[in-house]
Formats: sequence, structure tokens, C-alpha cells
Amino acid sequence: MRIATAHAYDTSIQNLQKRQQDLSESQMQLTSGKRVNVASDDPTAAARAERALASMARSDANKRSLDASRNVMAITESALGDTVELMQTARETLVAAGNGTYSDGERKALAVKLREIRNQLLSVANRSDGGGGFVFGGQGSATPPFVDGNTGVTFVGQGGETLASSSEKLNLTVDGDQVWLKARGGNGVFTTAPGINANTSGPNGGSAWITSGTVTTPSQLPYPTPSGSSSPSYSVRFNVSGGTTTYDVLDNSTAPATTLSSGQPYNSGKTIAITGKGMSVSIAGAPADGDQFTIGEATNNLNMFSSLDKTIAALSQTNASSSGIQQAVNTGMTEIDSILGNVQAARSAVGESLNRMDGIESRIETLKLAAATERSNAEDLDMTEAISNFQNRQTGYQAALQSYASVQKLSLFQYING
Amino acid sequence: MGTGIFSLGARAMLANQAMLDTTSHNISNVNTPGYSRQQVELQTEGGLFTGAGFYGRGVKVATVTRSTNEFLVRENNVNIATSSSDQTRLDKLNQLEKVLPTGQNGLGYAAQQVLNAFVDVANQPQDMSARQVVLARSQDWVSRVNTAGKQLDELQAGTVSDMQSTVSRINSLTQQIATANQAIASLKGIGHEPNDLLDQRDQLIKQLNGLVQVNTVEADDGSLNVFMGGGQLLVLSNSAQTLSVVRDPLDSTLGRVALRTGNTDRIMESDQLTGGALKGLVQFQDKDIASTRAGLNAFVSQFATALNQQQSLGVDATGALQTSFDAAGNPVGTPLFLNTGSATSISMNLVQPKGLAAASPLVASVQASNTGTASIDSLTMARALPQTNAIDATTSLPTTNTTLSVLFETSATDPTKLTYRFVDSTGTPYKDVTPKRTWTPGTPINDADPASIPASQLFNLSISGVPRAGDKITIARTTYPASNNGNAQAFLALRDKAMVTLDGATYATVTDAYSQMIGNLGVAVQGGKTAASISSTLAKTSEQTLSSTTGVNLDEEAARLIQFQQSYQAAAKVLQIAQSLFDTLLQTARG
Repeated sequence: MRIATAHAYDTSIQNLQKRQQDLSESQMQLTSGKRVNVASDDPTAAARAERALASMARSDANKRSLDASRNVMAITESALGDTVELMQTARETLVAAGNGTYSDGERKALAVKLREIRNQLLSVANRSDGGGGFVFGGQGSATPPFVDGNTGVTFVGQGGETLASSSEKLNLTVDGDQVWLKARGGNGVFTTAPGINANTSGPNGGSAWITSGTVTTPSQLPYPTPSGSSSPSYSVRFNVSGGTTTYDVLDNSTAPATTLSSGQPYNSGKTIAITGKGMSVSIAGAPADGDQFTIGEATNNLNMFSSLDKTIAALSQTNASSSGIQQAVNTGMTEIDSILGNVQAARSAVGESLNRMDGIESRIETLKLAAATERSNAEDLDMTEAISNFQNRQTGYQAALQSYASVQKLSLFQYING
Repeated sequence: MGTGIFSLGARAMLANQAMLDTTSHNISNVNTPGYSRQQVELQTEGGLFTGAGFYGRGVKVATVTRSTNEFLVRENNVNIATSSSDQTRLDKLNQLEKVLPTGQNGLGYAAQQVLNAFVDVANQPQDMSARQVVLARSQDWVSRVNTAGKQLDELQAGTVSDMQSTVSRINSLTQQIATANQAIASLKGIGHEPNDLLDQRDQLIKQLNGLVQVNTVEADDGSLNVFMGGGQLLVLSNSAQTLSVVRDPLDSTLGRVALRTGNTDRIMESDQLTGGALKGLVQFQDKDIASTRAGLNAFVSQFATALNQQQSLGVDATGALQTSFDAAGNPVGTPLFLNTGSATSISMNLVQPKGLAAASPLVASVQASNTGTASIDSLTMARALPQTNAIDATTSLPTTNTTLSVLFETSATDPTKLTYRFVDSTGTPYKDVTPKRTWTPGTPINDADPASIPASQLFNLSISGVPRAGDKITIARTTYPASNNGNAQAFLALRDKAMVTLDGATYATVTDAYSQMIGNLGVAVQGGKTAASISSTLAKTSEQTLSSTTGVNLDEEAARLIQFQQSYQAAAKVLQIAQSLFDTLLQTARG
């Protein structure tokens, strides 16, 4: 086939340009370190890289949620730690106040100490999260969520918890209402309290006081009450006649009350069984005729501040009866224990979630790393391959230039002389 | 006889000179585009009859022909038209690809970052700077989208302007072809081909094919009639039609090729263009820009709609419901975007960070006396709360009744299962009196009323853990909207919601939709590259085949030069011999 000279030159110039273009493309890949610079380089890889990038950004966002939650949980943990310490101190103070030899003045001093503890507890309950919110603010609160009013401390926030955005449950607040104001009353199953004297309709006249009681036969317990029926209550009524004290146990859920046992002889401090109901209490001291003690179902509404307020009020009384003090100390201790239990439970939940966060963080990091690897696999250059490619193309270009230079010298005209 | 050898020699010299001239012409035009190698056709002068038979009377130049091949020319023209169309489209596609950047410069990443910014709002709803970040990122997204829209507009305008310049070059070429036709036709009678004129005309047609594919039909007078691929006549003998570019009557941004007859422009169908740069431009305009714009607008408008909708379900930091209704029943509220449905003109609407509806209008809380382990995961709104002070205005609940409880009960039909129903704060059943909603673990609790219109559903409540019979979950209005993050979390959930559809049928998440868009465009560019590479290879091959027939090879010409020089020298020798013969004769006659 004949070769048209002009076309042959055109073709070689085009080929040289193509080689140069290839070389420059190879060089661009090497300098940018990316195999996919525009989507058309590899549409599938570009789409993969896009998704991986979104996944990385998502991991960063999740990390921020986690950090925010971790910050709040750390503050909460320390706040609950402070609470436990304060409650321990309150408990010790209360034990001291139970000392029968203390004068009114000494007890008052302890009451003042308790009041200080209560005020400190209130400030812990209203602890800020450092960002304008409150760690115990529940689902929202514009002002400190616990307000000290005429009727005691109330929760003005919205109950519940604010959660961070995450695939796993991360708290941004703790339900303060539950922690501070909703401990379980009594011994956890039932509550005991001094009742009203059946004869005088006034407060009990004797010096007897009741303990928080224990469960003896769980299978006989009337609590928790099945839904739909009202919660039964029981009472122990004392009869004092001729120096002998006996007691009756009554079931108040029926009208008139059913007698569960009657005429039992009373010994101070001895266990009194609520016959057939699996509970027993003990009453110490000397009850007056007609004195009553009631037993009811424990509920979740034991308010830490009300409980302390009640104890402080009892200890601040002048000329308080020793039974009144004993009752206040005893009830106060039971309640502090119950509240402590509630706070400890919340604290361990917080600690557990802090613990969980380490796991979540490592999962987020792993996901991010996986996404970064995916992105790199999709669009990054294999350097070894790219360098070898570049050298190949360089060699090719050199060869093309050299062959062009030597071929263009060949022409018959070179050999025609004159 | 004596004169015979003189005229023989002279003719031979003339013929050889003609061949030397033609070779020189070839050498001169080695680089002339469209030039076809010429050669002298020789033939013997007819014999002189004598009694001894025919004596040759030497050589004569019959004509000068050009080496060309009509079929190769035609094939080459078709290939040039296709290749030019593909290459033009590819050049434009390479620009189009830059409209949708990838990675962190991309629109998908920016959209994702708008949603990710809600993480900080959810973490600190009361922090206005976190809300400001959402607005700033939204503004960033809007700017990127606007830029992409404007780039598309500019590409479109550039395409129309390219079409105009292409058409004016076509008009100039067809005019030149008509002129060449006239010149060729006027020389028709003389019996020889006007080679250089024909070359010029072929070259014009080749150039025209680069712009628009044409077919040619030769007329009896030697002129070429030129038709466009679709059959539209462009050049008839010595008159050329004029093309123009006019605005599409339905969309003034689009350009349309029209044929000017008299003073009116008649728009031609796009399928009348079968090749050439003009086809590449029209195809790019009608297919590539159009589909990219449609995809971009769908992406932009659906993302903005989804965010606006989510915004309308929430409550802003001041406690204003974002969709309440005015007296005429029209929704009032401040949407995030002014969604025009177009990437070019969409803009931000919300400027106040406190106007961002980060709070949910309702909150759910578990009652303290619950014995089960149920806890709230999320409460999301299914539609906007219509009234400011009630849970639901569509039922008989009084407007002052602001709480609603979900009450779990043991199923009457299957004691192993739980049912739930709603009661208001006075204990009055809400929506349904008898418990008929069975609680299925993992399925959100909702108030969709099967007996009522489905649109009456207000919320979806997801819980984790297991409730027990008698447990209650209370749903109430949000008391502290500034510190609630319910709607911000719902915004974040949009990251995983399939809410964007590019084809109107399948929905994908924002990230997936954008990946799909750049993937589609990448595939289109890749396809364009492949097509351009194939058609340019074909064009190169046919050009090479053609040039091997028509092109000048200098070595060949050099060899011919020597050949013809020697023939010329031989012819001169004939004359010299004739002269010496004559001299011999004269001396003899002188005696």
C-alpha cells in the first residue's frame, strides 16, 4: 500500500500527541494519588467512594453524639457519686440523732446539719450539663428542674430522658424525677406507719414505734395488687386492759374490716405476723389502748427531699417524745436506704452506659476505618502499578520520538544530487 | 520522414514535460488538504499508414486525471460525520461532568452534611450556634446547587452559541459548494475534468460532513446536489439553502436548527440530523443536559421538600408550631428552603436559628408506676399538629385536654398477648373504646384509626423493652421546646430515609441518589468516550485508505521525477539525432 507522505506525518503527530496525553494522564494520577479523579474514570468506584465518604461523615456525626452523651454521663456519674456521699452523711447524722440521751439542742444541731445536706442535694439535683441544660432535666426544662416551694421540692421539667441521635441508646439527660423523687417507699414491698388511735381519733398516745417490717412468705403477699383492683391495707390495733396489752390484726380492704387475728399478747420488740399475708412487722415501746399502726403497699413516690424534710421537722421539735424520735429515725433510715438504693441503681445504670460507650466508640472507629478503606480501595491509586505504568508510557513516548526523528530523515530527495 | 522524427521527438519532449509538470504539481501540493494526486494519461498518436504498414507517430497527452475513489470518499465522509458528532458530544460531556463534582465538593456530601449538622442541635438544642451551623451548611448546599444549576445554564447557552457558529459555517460552506458547482458546470463542455476544482469541492463537502452529515448526488452538468441525512436539500446546483438556529418555542433556552425559506424559519426535526458536530450538539442539548438537569432538579427539590416537611412537623425554639393553620386553613410556618423545584433558583428561607424546628411538639414518658421494662425510643410525628393547645383536633377531645395515655392490657382473645388503647387525661377512651390494637414487639405504637381516615394518624411511638398489663405511657405537649430535640432526631433519621427518586419510581437516600446521579453521568461520559474512540478509529482508517489512493508520496514523486527526466533527456536525444540526420543529409546534398 502506498503511503501518503502528508498523511504519514499527520498520523505520527497524532500518535505522538496521544502518547503525550497518556503520559500526562499517568502523571496526573501519580501526583493526585487518585485513580478516580472524575466519575467517568470509573463510575462504579466513584459511586462506591461517594457512599463510603457519607459513611465516614456519618461516623463523625455519631462520634459527636457519643461525646456529648459521654460528657453528660460523666457529669451525672459524679453528681450521683456526690449524692451517695451526702446521703451516707445524712444517714450517719440520723443514726447519731437516734441517741436517746441527746437533748433537744443537740438534736437541733443535727437537724441543722441535715438541712445543709438537703440544700447541697438540691444543688446537685439541679447540676448543669455545662451547655445550658440540666443533667437531671428529663425531656426538657428551661429553668433548674427542681424547685424548692411551699410544699417541698417539686420537679418542673418534663419527665423522661432526652436521647442523643444514635443507633444505640445514648442519654443526654437523666430522668431526674425518677432518681430524686420517685424512690420506692417502705421496705420495697410494703410501708408501715403509725396510725390513728381508734378511741381518740387523734395520734397514737403510747410510746410504741413500728419498724419497716419484713416479708416472711412471698407467695402469700397481697402486693403488688393486680391491675384493676384496689390495693389492700392492714392495721395492727392494740388493746390495753388491766396491764395486759394485746393486739388485733385487721384487714382494712373490706368494710367493716376483717379480723385476721385477735387478742394476741404483745411483747415489745417481738415480731407481729400479718396472718396469711406473708408479712411481719415489729413494734417496740408501750402502746396505749386503741393505738394503731397501718401497713400499706409500697409505691414509687418516695421524694428524697420530702423524706429529709419530714425527718428534719421531727428532729427539730422541742420536747419530742422518745417514741416520736425513734419512729422518725427509724422511718428516716428506711427511707434513706431506699433512696440510696434508687440513686445507686441510677448510678450503676449511668456507669454501665459509660462503659457501653467505650464499646460504641470502638465500633464507630471500626466502621469509619472500614469506610475509609472502602473509599481508598475504590478511588485511590495502586502506586506500584501506577509507577510501572508511568515508566512504560515514558519508554513508549521516548521510542516514538526517536523513531519519528530517524524516519523523517529518510527521503529519496536526500539521495538525488544535482 | 525527416519531419516525422522531429515531430516525434518534440511530442515526446512535450509529453515528458507535461509529466514533469504534473509531478512538480504533486510535489508542490503534498501538504494541500484535499489534494488528489494527479497523473498524465498518455496515449500513442495514431499510426501513419504506409505501404509498409503503420508507423508510430509518437506519444500524445490524452488528459490529466486525479486519483480518487468515489466510494472511499463517501465512506470517509460518513465516518468523519460520525466521529465529529461523537467528539463534539464528548468535549461537551467532559464539561458537563464537572457540574456534578464527587467527594467533598459534591452536592450529595453537602446534603449529607446539612443533616449531620443536626447532631449538634440534637446534643444541645438550646445552643443557637449549633442551629446556626445547620443554617450555614444549608446555605452552603444551596450555593453549590445554585452553582451547578448555573453551570448547566451556561453549558446550555454555550451549546446554543456553538450551534449558531456551526450553522453559519455550514451556510458558508454550502455557499462555496454552490459556487464551485457553477464553476465546474461551466467547464463541463470542454471534455476534461477540472481536477483542482473537483478536489476543492470534495474538500468543502468533507468539511461540511464534519459539521453536518450530507449525501451528494451528481447531476448531469457535473454539479453536486447536497442533501442532509434526513433528506433535506441543502445545495441544488448553484444555489444554497440557508440554515439558522432559532429558539425552541416551548423552551426558549433550547436552540433548534431551522431552514430559512423566504423570511420564515421552519424548525427541522432533530432526527433529520444524522451526523456531524451539529448532531453532537443537538444530542448533548436534548439528551445529556436535559437528563442531568432533570436529575439535579429532582434531587434538589425532593431533598428540600423532605427537609421542609420535617420542619413543618416540629416546633421552633420559641415554641411556635411550624405548621399551624391560619383562618383560611393555609399552613403558616417558616420552611427551611424556598423550594422552586429548580436547582438554579432554590434559596434559603429560614434565617433565624431559633426558627429551626428542632423540638417535637409531643413527648412521651413512661409512667413511674409501670412494672414492665418498656422505655421510650422515639416519638415521631406522622403529620403536623394542627392546634396549639390540644393533642388532636380531629376528635372530640376538648382543646384543653393536653395529655393522652397509651394503656397496655392483656388481650381478651389471647392472654399471652398485650393490646393497647388510648385514654385521655380524664380516663375517657380516645378514638376506640374497646382495645383492638394488638401490641407487636418492634412495631411502633400508632394512633392510626382503622375505622377512621388513615390521615388521622398523628404519631409513631417506638418503645424498647416489654410493657406489662396496666402499664401506661403518657404523651403530652412539649413544655420546653427550646431544650427538646425530638424533631432534630427526626431530621437525622432522614439520612437513612429513601426520599429521593430520580426516575419517579424507586426511592433512594440522599447519598445513594447522588451516587446514582454521578454514576449515571460517569457512565454517559464513558459511553461518549468509547463511541468517540471507535468512530475516530474508523475515521482514521478510512482516511488512511483514502489517502493511500489520493495522497502524494514524495519518494514516489522523486522516483518519477528521475524517470521523467530521463525520458525527457531521451526525447531530447531523439531531436539531437534528428538534427544530426538532417545535417548528414545537408552535407550529402552539398556534395
